[in-house]
Amino acid sequence: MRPVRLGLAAALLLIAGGPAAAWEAPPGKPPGKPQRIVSLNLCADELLLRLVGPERLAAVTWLARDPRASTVAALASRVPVNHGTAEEILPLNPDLIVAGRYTTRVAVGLLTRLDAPLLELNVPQSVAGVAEQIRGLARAVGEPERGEALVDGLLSRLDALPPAAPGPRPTAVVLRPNGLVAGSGSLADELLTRAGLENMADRLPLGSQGALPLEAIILGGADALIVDAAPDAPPSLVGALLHHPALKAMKRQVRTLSLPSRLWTCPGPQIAEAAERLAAAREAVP
Amino acid sequence: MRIETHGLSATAGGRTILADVTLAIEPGAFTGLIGPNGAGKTSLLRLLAGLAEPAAGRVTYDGRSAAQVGRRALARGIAYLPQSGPVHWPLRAEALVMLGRLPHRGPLGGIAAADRAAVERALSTADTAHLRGRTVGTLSGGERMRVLLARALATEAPVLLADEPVAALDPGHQLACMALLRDAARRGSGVVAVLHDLTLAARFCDRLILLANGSLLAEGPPSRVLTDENLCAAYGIAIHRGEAGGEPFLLPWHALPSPTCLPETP
Amino acid sequence: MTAAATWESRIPYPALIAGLTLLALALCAVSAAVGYVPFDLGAALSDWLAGRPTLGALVLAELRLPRALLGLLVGFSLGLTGAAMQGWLRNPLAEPGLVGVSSAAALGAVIVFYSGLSAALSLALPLGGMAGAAAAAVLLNLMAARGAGTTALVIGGIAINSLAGSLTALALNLAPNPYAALEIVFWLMGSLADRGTDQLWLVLPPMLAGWALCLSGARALDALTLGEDAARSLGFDLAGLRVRLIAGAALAVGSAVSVTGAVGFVGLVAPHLMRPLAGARPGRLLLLAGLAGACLTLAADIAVRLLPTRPELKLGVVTALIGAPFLIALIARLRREEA
Repeated sequence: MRPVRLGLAAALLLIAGGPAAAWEAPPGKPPGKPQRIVSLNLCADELLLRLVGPERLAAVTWLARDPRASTVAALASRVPVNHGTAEEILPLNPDLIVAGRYTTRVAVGLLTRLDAPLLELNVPQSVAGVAEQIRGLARAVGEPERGEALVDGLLSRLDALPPAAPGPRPTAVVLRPNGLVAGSGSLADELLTRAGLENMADRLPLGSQGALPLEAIILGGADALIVDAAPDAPPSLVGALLHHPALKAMKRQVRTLSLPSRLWTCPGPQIAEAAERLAAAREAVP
Repeated sequence: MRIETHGLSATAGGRTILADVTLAIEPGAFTGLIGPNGAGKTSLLRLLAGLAEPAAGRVTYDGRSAAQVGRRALARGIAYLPQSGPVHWPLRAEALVMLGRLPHRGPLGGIAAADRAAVERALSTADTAHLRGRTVGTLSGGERMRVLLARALATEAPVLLADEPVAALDPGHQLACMALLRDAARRGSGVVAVLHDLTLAARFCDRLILLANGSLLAEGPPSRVLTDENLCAAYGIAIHRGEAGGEPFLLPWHALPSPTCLPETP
Repeated sequence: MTAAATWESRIPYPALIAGLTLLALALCAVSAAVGYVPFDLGAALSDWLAGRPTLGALVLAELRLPRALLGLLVGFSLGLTGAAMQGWLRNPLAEPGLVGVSSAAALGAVIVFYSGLSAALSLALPLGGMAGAAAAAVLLNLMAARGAGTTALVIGGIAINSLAGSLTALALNLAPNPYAALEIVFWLMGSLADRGTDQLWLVLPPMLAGWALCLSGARALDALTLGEDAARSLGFDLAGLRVRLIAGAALAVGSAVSVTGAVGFVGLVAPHLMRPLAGARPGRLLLLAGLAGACLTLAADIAVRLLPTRPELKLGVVTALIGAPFLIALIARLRREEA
């Protein structure tokens, strides 16, 4: 767990330090509009499909077509897919490759030898970071206006969330697969706050770090339990934990909300919907 | 119980190991089953015990088939002592002998006084009462064989089928064991033992069955079975005959060159 | 000295059973009391009994108790099946884990679970485990049933284990879920963490049926001490025994593995520890080994929660740490005996 946490922290610093530099097109190349863009990361798929549409994309990941994981499955059905291997990418002769900072490292390592510029997306941990990432990617693909429009739409929906009632806010814990919770400093944490909830992950009996036994989450006594899973997700043990009878029993005492991962795993305009659902859940807390 | 076989044949791996054997095992008699290695003695004994299916022919128990008698009733009627009987767990001798009482115990029934009494009788008959507390692994080969014999005796079945019961025993215990089997027959049991020692067979058995190459070569009282021709034909041996204390005895004396087994060399 | 005293073990059988049962129940209570977050157990207990839905009562009734009871049931199943298989194959190495029955059960459960069948029908999960366990037991019967020598048994076990293991990895790789490949550790090592009442009720009936089938073979297993011919001459139907034991092992181990993964070595260690107390009689060993298996599993599951590792160690890691030295010693002894 720790190396991942440190990695996330490093990613945060990178974004805060100089995001603009990261998105600048490499020098010596005209900042034209790339026509054969390849994406190696689901979050990049989502943003690219919204920013440039299917026509200029040479490939997106196979995950983008899965409506349970992706919010752009319909658009992705018109684009060839890849599985994150360099062999699939080379014949496409891409003029821009977009990858995630932490995924498909082997393919990315090989693809750096190509002439095509390579962009690596970080994992933003705040709404500001999300906006920066959208703008940066939009510049790289030559669509700054559409990027700005996406950001404006996101921010205006977040601003339109109903204001929190006076007095103490209802507490909430975000339960993710494998007994993980969303701690402070995460994007989920900011969305909770914007939705008028108070993230109590750091006040759980065993803290918010690492995989937690279910009893630590239950005995934390939050007013609302936000389960980060789609009801129709493919079966997994970590997902099964979210349907544990103890959590079912808790529904009688605690407000529980199932929030599909696709709405807030990737930075993008869809996080506005996540925040809206959280706000609606807050309204329903007794 | 009277066991009869009618035209009994058995095969193993396509090879005939018993052919057309018809005989009867009478109660009250000690029958020795003799013959050279590979003659089919163990196969015949297993068929008699209902442990194998014949390729042809049938075995009857007081005129009924094994299926008609029923597995449990047959187990109470026939005690079977396998050759060099394996013992897979280090049981104490007395617990091992108690296994012989399993056919008499109901599915949930515990050990009754009758079971304990039968075990005591078997232990003392087989001269193993002093071994009762020992685990099987600590026994000598002969002690082990006697404990296994006691296990077969403890069933107190009307028929006892024993495969080479004296093979592992010292001469003293061989004599004691043969006397014990003869006494059991005197008390009314039908006793069949596979034997290799012709001297003992001649002296203790009431009847002998001589098998050779899967066929019944001779059957009857020892004097009629253990003729020079039969022994030459079955084993390829010549024997030395003598007399001790008014009783005749015979000893295997030398092997004969195989093709020239002619009757009555002068 | 009475005749009975020499071949009964020094401790009378009913006293042994009673003692082990009490120990298992005590360990069950300790297991329910041990957890990660301290809370008022007494208050939780009275809340639960009074039907007050407090968080403490919820944790006790829906997390701590199912975990403790599943530990008891799974341990009993593994210990009992281990003893039954050892008696059947007449080899002290015959154990659900070593001979591949557990890993085949895990394969069956994995296929059912990741294909989504168990989401549609929860009973499909133990059924998948049972099918896997039964297939392995039948395969084992083909390879090694006739008085299995240690070599035949170990080689057969290696073959089934590696086949089931690689097919499990394959099934997990084909699964549509991104976490599936990580979850192989649960299926191969086993864990009782965060198990629930739904799983408890799901596996209880097949386990009880499996226990009954295994225990019904006690007399025949005693008789098998003398080999197959002698056992049959004592009136036992060995074909029927084989069917009962394969079905019993499949029901008990298959359902256990389908909710806790393949916990190893319990079926090896429990019968081994109890054999002297049973006077080495395979029939008498069954119940003792089941109870000892329950105690071992509960103790190991208490240990994983007391050890300062987070996330907690898989249960099978602890049982393997205890069991592997046993196995090595046992193999050394068997080699001496066979030499």
